[in-house]
Amino acid sequence: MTLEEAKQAILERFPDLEVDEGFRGGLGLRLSAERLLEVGRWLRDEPAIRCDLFHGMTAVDWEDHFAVVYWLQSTAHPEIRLQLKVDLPHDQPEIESVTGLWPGANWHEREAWDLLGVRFRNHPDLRRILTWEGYEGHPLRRDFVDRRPKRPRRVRIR
Amino acid sequence: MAEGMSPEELGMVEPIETGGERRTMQLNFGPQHPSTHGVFRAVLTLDGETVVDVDPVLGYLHRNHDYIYQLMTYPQIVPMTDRTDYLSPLNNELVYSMAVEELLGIEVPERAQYLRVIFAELNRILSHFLYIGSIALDLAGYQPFLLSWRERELGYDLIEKATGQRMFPNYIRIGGVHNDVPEGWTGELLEFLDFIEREAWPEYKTLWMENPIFKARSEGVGVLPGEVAIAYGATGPVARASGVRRDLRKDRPYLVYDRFDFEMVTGEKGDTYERSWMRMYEILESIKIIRQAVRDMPDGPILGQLPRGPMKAAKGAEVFTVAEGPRGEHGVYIASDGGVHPYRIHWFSPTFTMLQLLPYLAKGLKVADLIAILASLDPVMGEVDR
Repeated sequence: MTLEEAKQAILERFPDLEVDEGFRGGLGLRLSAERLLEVGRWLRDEPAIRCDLFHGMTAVDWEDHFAVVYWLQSTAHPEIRLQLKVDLPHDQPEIESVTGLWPGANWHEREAWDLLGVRFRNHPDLRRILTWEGYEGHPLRRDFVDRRPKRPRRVRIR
Repeated sequence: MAEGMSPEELGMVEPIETGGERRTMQLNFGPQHPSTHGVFRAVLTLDGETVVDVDPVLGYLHRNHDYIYQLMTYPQIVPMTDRTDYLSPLNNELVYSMAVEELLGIEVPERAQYLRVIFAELNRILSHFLYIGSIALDLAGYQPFLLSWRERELGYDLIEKATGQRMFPNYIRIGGVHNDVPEGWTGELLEFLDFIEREAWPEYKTLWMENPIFKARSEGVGVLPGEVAIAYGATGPVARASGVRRDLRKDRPYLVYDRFDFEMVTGEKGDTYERSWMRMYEILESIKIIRQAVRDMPDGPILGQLPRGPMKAAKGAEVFTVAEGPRGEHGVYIASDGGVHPYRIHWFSPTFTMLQLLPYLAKGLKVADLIAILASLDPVMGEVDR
């Protein structure tokens, strides 16, 4: 199945999904946070599409909102490459975890929590992964300020 | 130990049975340990020498590459990508350049595509040789490790001759490659390939791959079923050893890979031994690809038509590009806000994903098996932590 056929099939099943025209390199889809698990489960299990390979996820801080993006690929139909995009409010970025669908999402979601502060509901083990426990703030946020002590300034001797 | 005395009498071992409960102990494995391939740490819960639980702890090499990229312009990032997976810098440059080309719609001339294939495959050979050397070192075989550096030196000399640098060549550029290869270089490359095929490869095969000690320590150790590999997002040689037929160079050919005749190497058992054979056979397939690429390489320009002025993508444009690296499929995500700096870059590293398999594979085995399994996943911590 080619990417174009997959696009038709997906839009037939979910007519309300929005195609993301800005995405190059596959098919980009926008959806709401509530529908993520439903659409994801269908994409994984539908034999004509079978997006069983989770190819990572991350979040983008667009200052007024967060965009969480997921990349899915199919081992059965290598032409199919998808990006799912979910917009979240900036003051409360929280979304359902997809570790139940793709166990490989575990660390990627921990990374998004660590660096961008996006919370994942029902994640089995949502700890920081690249920084350490007790680190303050989320370094990839646009409004992040590094609060660690700075190096001492050079002292001028008169 | 004195004859006739039990260890308990000597006060060496505490009794393991404590009120009907098994007593476990916690052990820090790494981060400063030769077999952790950099600075990987895992908190092991052990019952005797059996691994009960593994909790990997990452981030010792975290430099926040994603943030550093945001401060740079698109062409400035190319040399930075060398520093993620520092054992396959040319493949990193390739996937980043492909992503930017897809984002900006830049055409790459044919000769540059052939040169890219040659360098990507050469880097794959060198990276796989280091794999064989490092798994040998981790399983107490010192000789193959030294031999692997001999081959890598020769390969690095070739890369240095063509690009001017050994480890961080900064050769593949957005739109093509930096310079054409010097005269006579392809002849030396073919000689190097002949040397590998005639002498080095059979040497590794007899010295290490057919070594009874290595076989005893790796056969049946860390068996990964194919469906588990897919569920955890494993790609590359690790997934192919488990029988997953997926190789982007075959399935969704990029560059000019569809013009070459080569095999996709797959295994059946998915144990550590098979994962090592995958790398060995992929070296031979890469040699095949390079020979055909050198034979068919056309003349012509090596850099495509670049946009005038600073490189900028459209506002809201995004791209996610994947390519087949030596360790699996690595990818780059770029989101643009229309400026000269990328708004957000995310580096998708295959070994970060695959290290999640370590607890699954190592539970119930011995500590020594854990080291073999970790080496067979071939993590490079520069890429895992980014």
